[in-house]
Amino acid sequence: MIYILILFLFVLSFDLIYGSVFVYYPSSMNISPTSPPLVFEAGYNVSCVDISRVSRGALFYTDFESIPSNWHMINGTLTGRGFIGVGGYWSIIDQGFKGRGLRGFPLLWQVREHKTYTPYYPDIRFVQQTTNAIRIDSYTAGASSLGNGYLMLIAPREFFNNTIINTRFNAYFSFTGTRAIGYIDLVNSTIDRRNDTVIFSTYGDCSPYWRKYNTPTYIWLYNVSQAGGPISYNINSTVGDLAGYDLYMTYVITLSDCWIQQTVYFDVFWMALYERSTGSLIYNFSFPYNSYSVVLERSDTYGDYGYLRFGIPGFTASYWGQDISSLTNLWISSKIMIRSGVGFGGIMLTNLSNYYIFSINSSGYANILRYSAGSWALLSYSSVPGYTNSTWYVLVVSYVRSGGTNSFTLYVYDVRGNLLTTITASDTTFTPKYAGLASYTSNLLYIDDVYDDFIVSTSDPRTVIFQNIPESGYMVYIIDNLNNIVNYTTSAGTTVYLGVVNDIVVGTGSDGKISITYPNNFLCINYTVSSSDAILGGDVYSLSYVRYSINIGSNKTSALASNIYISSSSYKISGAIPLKIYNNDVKPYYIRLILDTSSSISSYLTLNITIALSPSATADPIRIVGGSVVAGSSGWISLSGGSYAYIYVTGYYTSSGQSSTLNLYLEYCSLSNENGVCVFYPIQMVINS
Amino acid sequence: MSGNNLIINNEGRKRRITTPLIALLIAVVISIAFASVFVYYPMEVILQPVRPPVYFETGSNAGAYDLGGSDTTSNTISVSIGSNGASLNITVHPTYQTTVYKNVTKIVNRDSKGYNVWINIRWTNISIMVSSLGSTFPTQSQSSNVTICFVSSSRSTSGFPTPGYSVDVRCVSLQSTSTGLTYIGFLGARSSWEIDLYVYIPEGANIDGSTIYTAEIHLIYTPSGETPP
Repeated sequence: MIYILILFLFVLSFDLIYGSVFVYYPSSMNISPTSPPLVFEAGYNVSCVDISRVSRGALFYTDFESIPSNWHMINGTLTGRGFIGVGGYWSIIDQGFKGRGLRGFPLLWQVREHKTYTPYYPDIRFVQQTTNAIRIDSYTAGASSLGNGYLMLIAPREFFNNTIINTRFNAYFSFTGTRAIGYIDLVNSTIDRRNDTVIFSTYGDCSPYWRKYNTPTYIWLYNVSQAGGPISYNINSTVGDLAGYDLYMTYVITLSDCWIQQTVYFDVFWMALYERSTGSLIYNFSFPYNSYSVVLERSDTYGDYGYLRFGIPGFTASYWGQDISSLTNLWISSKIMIRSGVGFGGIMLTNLSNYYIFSINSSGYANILRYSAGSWALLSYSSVPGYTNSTWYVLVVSYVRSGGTNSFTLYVYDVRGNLLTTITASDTTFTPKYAGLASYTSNLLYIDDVYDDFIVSTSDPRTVIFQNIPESGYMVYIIDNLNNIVNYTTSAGTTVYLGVVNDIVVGTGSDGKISITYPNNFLCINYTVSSSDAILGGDVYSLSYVRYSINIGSNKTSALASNIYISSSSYKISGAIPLKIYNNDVKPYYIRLILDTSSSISSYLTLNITIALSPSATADPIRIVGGSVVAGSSGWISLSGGSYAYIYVTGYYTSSGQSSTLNLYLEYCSLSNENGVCVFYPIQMVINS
Repeated sequence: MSGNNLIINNEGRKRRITTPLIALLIAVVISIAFASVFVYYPMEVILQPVRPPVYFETGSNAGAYDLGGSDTTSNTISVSIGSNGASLNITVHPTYQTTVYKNVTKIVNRDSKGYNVWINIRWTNISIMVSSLGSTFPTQSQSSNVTICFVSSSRSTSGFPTPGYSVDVRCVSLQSTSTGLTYIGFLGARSSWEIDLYVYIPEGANIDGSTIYTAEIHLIYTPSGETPP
């Protein structure tokens, strides 16, 4: 018995030493599978692979960001400040429709006789000299002629800005004592030779009105004082920065015959402009004998006035230097804005002796004009509803030549693309040889026209055509290089005609973008045109696209999209929406995409993959750049109950014949920050070029 | 000397055979007589219940929104723990593909010594759900996988098209092929583990939305290194 007791005590003590305690907690795990709250649906099974221009009607285009090559001025030469001739000034200015534009400004020398004193009467003449000077002549009439004579030139202040004005003249004064006999000024205003009531009123002084009254203000260039003569003058007057001065200024040479029983004349040989900074010649306005005529509009008075006629007075033109006389069906277009003055601006067809002009004028009329044999003829006209100065308009000319007859149609649009008026004309006078632009001051004072978006084309430049659109509902956008939407439209079939009247030479004449989107406005393709190219009215583009297969699992929780083809150019970004995600729960879920490391990625691939609620509400994407994964998961978005999200892919290859297999997960969680329950659906996309 | 002796010792030593016989007889008699004898030794056993050193605690996702539900009431990750943390009931609503429930509950050791932890799947009707329709991805398993996972520090998913789930400690299948004891690990002093559920259901398997599958398990902990009985 003692053995048994000993045995019992041994076992007990063993148990106590080694703690053989086991605690059992009952637990139950209950799994109640439910149908998936988020499911896949097929997106668009179309990917846009390429878009290319298949034809271009434009023969010539410019946005006048600079002087175009093969551009000329009638009776003018190209200088450092644009084209200048005795009849006009064509320059590039900042105030274009977009960016810069081309200014057309006729130049006209004015002459004026001025009765300055009540008891005294002028007889001042303006006479060509065989010495190649224009004489302001108070001499020929004898000592009885007393008054002022003016030779004036109105020009934009940019014309004189930072220049040295060189005036070469001879002056004769019959008196042996020194007296003031003349002035040279740059007046801060437009001086109209017909201004009898103010500038050329009889105010009892020898000096010009602005000198006496200091209005308008002026920049003093020179005082002519001498005794006897003729004395030769070669005056250099420095003009600085004219910022703050009037837009238009008048250079004036004033002869002042203020001396009883004396006579005086000026022989003006030239007025030349030099660059103030470099001293280089800009242009020399000279008066070669018999190259012009003096036209007196008012004569035999004590306030005669007129102008010097070089070519067509008040008219100036510039043009594209390509001969178009063999072309019988052309379109020419330009934007035009009349900034100030009286007259017209418009498109020109010419053979350099005769002109057809297609214009709008400052009175609000569209005109088709012909100039030939020294005179103007109005072929057709119409009012332009709502016309105002300082407003851009678009002129589009259709020209057809058949059997010696020129048929013209002029369309006038506003810059929103609304057609304002249409006029037509026919004529047989001459065959146009050049196309360009023309400005004319109809009151022979001044006009300031600005032009932009000039094009000569064999096809209608008012439209850009897009072919091979997959189906209706796709949207086509043209965007200029300043990121303005020029126009957009929704396809109604496989061909889209997109109006670009408002910007026929899109943007500032280089690059720009063409975007085509799916019916839900996600990008299908975005084409950035090269900076050495442009988007022009009359262009025809063709889209290439591929239909690919989308397989979705039996319970819509897995997906495989095969052979999505994308662009093989970095200039063309393709977009695809292979899948949609629908939340059929009532509560939201937080969703994102994850790129698995088992993916096979071409080194030529640049791609973003993201989740989007709309084109403007996208999560930060999965990013692949040159085959390297820069971001391996997307950001999170919240998908509300009853809503869709889209898996949105954008990118391109930089080589053709490439393929990548992307293994992804859709992860969605019931709470943010990966809290609650999280679910993973597999997706595979095979993307090719 | 009597003539009643039965054994005669020829060497003159006579053995008395009567003494052992009498002893035997006494023993038999005693056995018969003492079989109904009860000896009472006084013993004192003191039970001093202590609060459990290891207990369940709700995880960060207990009670959070689960998948699905009705138009008015969302399913939740239902976690019910006994008043002393010594029992646990979890109900979840996974769906097709991979559903992960992180940190549904915790097991906490507040003692100054560690414990070995086991689970015993006593009973389960979580059958293997099999797809009859095939997967979009041929390499994807057509059979379900339902596991309970104990996480001491980190967890991760990897692989395609089904993300495998790996945790720092141990995952154990709850499906009907997996009853019995499984050692989980050593829960150190004053430490805790998070408990996850990882569920993979292949597309094409039958889900009727109302069936509830249950696994009854015991969580067992012991200071010893023995296998629990």
